[in-house]
Amino acid sequence: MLSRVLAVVLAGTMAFGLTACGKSSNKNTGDKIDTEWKKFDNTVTLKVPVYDRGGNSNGVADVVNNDWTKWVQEQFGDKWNIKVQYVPITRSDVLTDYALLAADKNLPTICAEYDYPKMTQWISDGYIDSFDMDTFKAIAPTYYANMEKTGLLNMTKVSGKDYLVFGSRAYGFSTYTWATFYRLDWVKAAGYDKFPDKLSDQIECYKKIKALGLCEYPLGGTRVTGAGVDQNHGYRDYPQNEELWATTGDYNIPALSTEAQKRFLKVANEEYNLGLIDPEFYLKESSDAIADFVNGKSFQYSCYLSSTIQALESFYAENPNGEVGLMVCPGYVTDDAYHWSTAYRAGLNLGAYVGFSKSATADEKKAAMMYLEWLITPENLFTFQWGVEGKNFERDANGNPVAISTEGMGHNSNVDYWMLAEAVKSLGNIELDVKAVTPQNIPADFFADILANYNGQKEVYEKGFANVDCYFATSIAAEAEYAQTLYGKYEEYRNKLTTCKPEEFDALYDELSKKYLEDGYQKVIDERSKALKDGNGTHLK
Amino acid sequence: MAKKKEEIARDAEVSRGENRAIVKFRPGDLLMMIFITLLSLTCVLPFIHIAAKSISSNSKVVAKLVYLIPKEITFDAYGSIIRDNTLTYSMGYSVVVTFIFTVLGMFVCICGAYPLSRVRLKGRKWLTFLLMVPMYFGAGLIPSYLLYSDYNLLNNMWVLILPLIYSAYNLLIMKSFFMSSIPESLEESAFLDGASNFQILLKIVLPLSKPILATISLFYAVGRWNSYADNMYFIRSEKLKMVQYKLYQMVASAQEAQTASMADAAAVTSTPEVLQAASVMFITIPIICIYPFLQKYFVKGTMIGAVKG
Repeated sequence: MLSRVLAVVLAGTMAFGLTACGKSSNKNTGDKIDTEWKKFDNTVTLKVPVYDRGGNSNGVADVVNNDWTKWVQEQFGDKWNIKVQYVPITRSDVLTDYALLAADKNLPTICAEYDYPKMTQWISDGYIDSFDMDTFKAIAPTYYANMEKTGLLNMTKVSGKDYLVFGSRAYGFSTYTWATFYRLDWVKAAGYDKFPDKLSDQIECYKKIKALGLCEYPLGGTRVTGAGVDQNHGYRDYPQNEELWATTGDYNIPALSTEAQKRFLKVANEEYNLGLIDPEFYLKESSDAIADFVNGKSFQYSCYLSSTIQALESFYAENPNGEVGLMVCPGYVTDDAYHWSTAYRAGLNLGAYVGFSKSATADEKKAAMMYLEWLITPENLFTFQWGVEGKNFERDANGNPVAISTEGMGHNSNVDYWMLAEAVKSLGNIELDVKAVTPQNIPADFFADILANYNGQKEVYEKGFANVDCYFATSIAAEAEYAQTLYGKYEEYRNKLTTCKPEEFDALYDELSKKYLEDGYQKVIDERSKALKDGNGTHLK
Repeated sequence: MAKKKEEIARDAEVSRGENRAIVKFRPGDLLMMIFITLLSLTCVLPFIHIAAKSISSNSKVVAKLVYLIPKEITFDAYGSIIRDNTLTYSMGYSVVVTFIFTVLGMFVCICGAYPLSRVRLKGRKWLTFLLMVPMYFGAGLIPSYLLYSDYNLLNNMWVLILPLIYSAYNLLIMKSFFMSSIPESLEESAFLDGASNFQILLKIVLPLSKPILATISLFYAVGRWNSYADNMYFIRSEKLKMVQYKLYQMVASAQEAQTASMADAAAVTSTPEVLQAASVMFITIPIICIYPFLQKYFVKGTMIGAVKG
C-alpha cells in the first residue's frame, strides 16, 4: 500500500513537472499594426537578440550594456519612446536559449538566426508570428527595398504566409572570403610556376613534392570538423537533376550514397593510398592543421580571410624564407579523368533571417520594424560597422574608410548588432572589400590573388556551375531528428572509405551507403522529396 | 625455522619503531612508486603545459612547439588580463558567491542532518526518504527555468545560491557522522542539565564535529566554484557570471571559430590560445595554492562517506 501511494505521489510530481513546461501569456498580440512613424504614447520595450560569444573576458565590452547599446537608445529609442533592450543569446547554444525564453513567454521581439532550418523549426514550434508584408514595407521601406534587391523575396514565406524578413549579404554567390594558402616554394621546386588548375595535375604535383622529400604527407588531413565538410559540388553531373539536388545537395548532412560523394571519396582514397594524406588524419583537429602548415608538415591551409591571420603570421615567423601562394579559382575547368570540375556551392545574397515573436504586442512588432529600418539607414549602418572616425577608422585619399582599430567595438566590428541588416561589411566595390580583408603585417601581398579568385568564382557562377542549395519553406522534421546521428556515422564511414584498399572501395561504398540510408538518410530524402513535390521547396536555377 | 627467523626480524623492526616498507625496499614497492608517479604526471603535466603556453609567444603556441618549456617568454597575456580587470572582477564575485553559498549550504545541511540523526525524532525514516528523492529525480531544465522565473530569480545572484544549497548527498554524509560520532548519552546528560535542542546542537554537537564541518564546507565550496551550467542557463548579465563560466565561454568561442559555418563567418576571430592559457592559470593558481592545505579534509570526507554512508 505504502509503495503504491509513493508511486502515485512520484508519478504525479513528474507529470506536474512536465505539464509545467509552458506559461500562459496575457499579452494582446492580435492588434493591427499602424504604419505611421510617430512617438509611442507609452514606452514600448523592444527586445533585440545579440550573440554573446564570451568576448567579455577578451577585452570586448558587455554585449547588452556598452557605448553602442547606449548610442542606439539615444539615437533611436529615446526619439520614438522605445526602450531598446538587448537579450544575450549564447552563441554556442542558441537553440537552448531560445527554447528557455519561449517556454517562459519571454522571447525577444526579434528572433534572428543565420540558419534557415532553425527559423522554419521556430515557426513550426510557434515562436514566430506571421505578419503583413505591406505593413512591413510601409514601416521599413529601405529594409524592404534591400530585400527586393537580392531578388529573393519569395524566401519570406513559409507555408504560404509571410514570416521572415532578411538582411543582405554582399557577394553571397562567392566564397572568396574562404581561402586556401599553399607552399608556393614547394610547387616551384616541383617544376610548376603556380598551383595547377586540374585535379590530375594537382595530384601529380603532390606526388612530386613527396618524392622530393619536401613533405611526407602534403595533404595533411583532419577529422570531420563541422557542418559543410566534404562538399561534393566539384564531382556532380551538370546540369544537376533537380530532385537529386533538392534531396541530397544540402550543406548540413553529407550526401553519402550519392554518386558525387562516391567520386569525392574515391579521390580521397586514392590520395590516401598514394601516401599523400597523413595516416592519422582522423585524429587531427583544425588546430593541428594550422600547426602542420606552420611547421612545414603539410602543403596547404584553409581559413577565412581577415586583415590578421594568426596562422600566416606564425608561418612567416617560423619560416622566414618560406613562400606562400593563394589558390585561385581559374574559372570553369573540368578534369574528365576524375569526373571533376571547379564547380562549387554558391550562397544566397542574404544574411540573417529575422522573424517577430508570437508573444510580442502589435506595438512591439511595430517598434521592431522601425528598428530594422533605422538600422539599415546608410549613415547608421556605416557608424555601426566602422565605428568612430579617428579612433576606429581613417579616410584614405579617395575618402574611403580604412579600419585602424577595433577598440571599443564588439565582436568582429559589431557584426552581432548589424547582422540584422547586412551579413558582411561592404563598401559596395569588390576591390575595396577585398582590400579590407587582405592579410596585413606579412611579407606577401595576396590582394591580386584574392581578387582573381573572386573573379574566377564569378565566372563559374555565371556559367551556371555554382548552385545554391534547395531551401524548404517548411520544417523537415527528419533533418532535426537524424542530422546529428548521420553526422557521426558519416565520420566513421568516411574514415573507413578513405583508408580501405582501392580495390575494396566500390563494394564498401555500396555497403556503407545502405547502412547510412537505414541510419535515417532515406527518411530525410523522402521528406525533402515530398516537400519539393508539395511546392514547398526552391527550384534549381 | 627460517620462517621463525623472518618473524623475529620483523618484530625487531617494529620494536625499533621503523616502518618495514621503507627499511625493506621491494620490487613491488618500486612498481607502485612508478605507477603513482605516472598517475601524478597525468595531472601535473597538462598543468605545466598550460603554464608554459601562457608565457610563450603566440607564434610558437600556434605552431604547437610549446610542450613543457616556455618559448620566447612573454607575460603579455597576463598583462592584458590584469589591465582588462573583467576576470579579476569575476574572480572576486565568484569568491563572494561561493562564500555565501557555503555558509547557507552548511546551515541547511546541519539543520537537516542533526534532527534526522536523532532517534527521538518521530517519522525520521520517512523524512529521510523524502529528502533523498531529489538525489534521483530532477524536474529538468525548462521546469526549473520557469520556476526560477516565477520567483524572479533569473538573472539574479541568488539563482546561483538558493537552488543548490540543499544537497542530499552532503546531508547523508553529515547525518551518518552525527549518528556514529555523537552518543545519545551525551545529549541525555545535557538534557538533564536543562539544555535545549539548540543549545545541545551549538554547544555540544557542532564543537565535536569539526572534521565533518570542514569536509562538507569544502564539498560545498569546491562544488560551487567548479560548476557553470546554471550560469549558462539562468544568468544573462555579464556582471553576474562566475569566472568558470567566463572561461567556458572563452574556450567555446575558440572552438566555434574553428568550426564556424560559412554563414556566420565574415571574419571569424577567436581568443588567442596564449590568452586562454593565461586565463586558465589565472583562475586555477589560487585554488592550487589553497588545495594542499585542505586536501586532508577531502580524504576524511571520502572515508566517512565510504564507511558509514
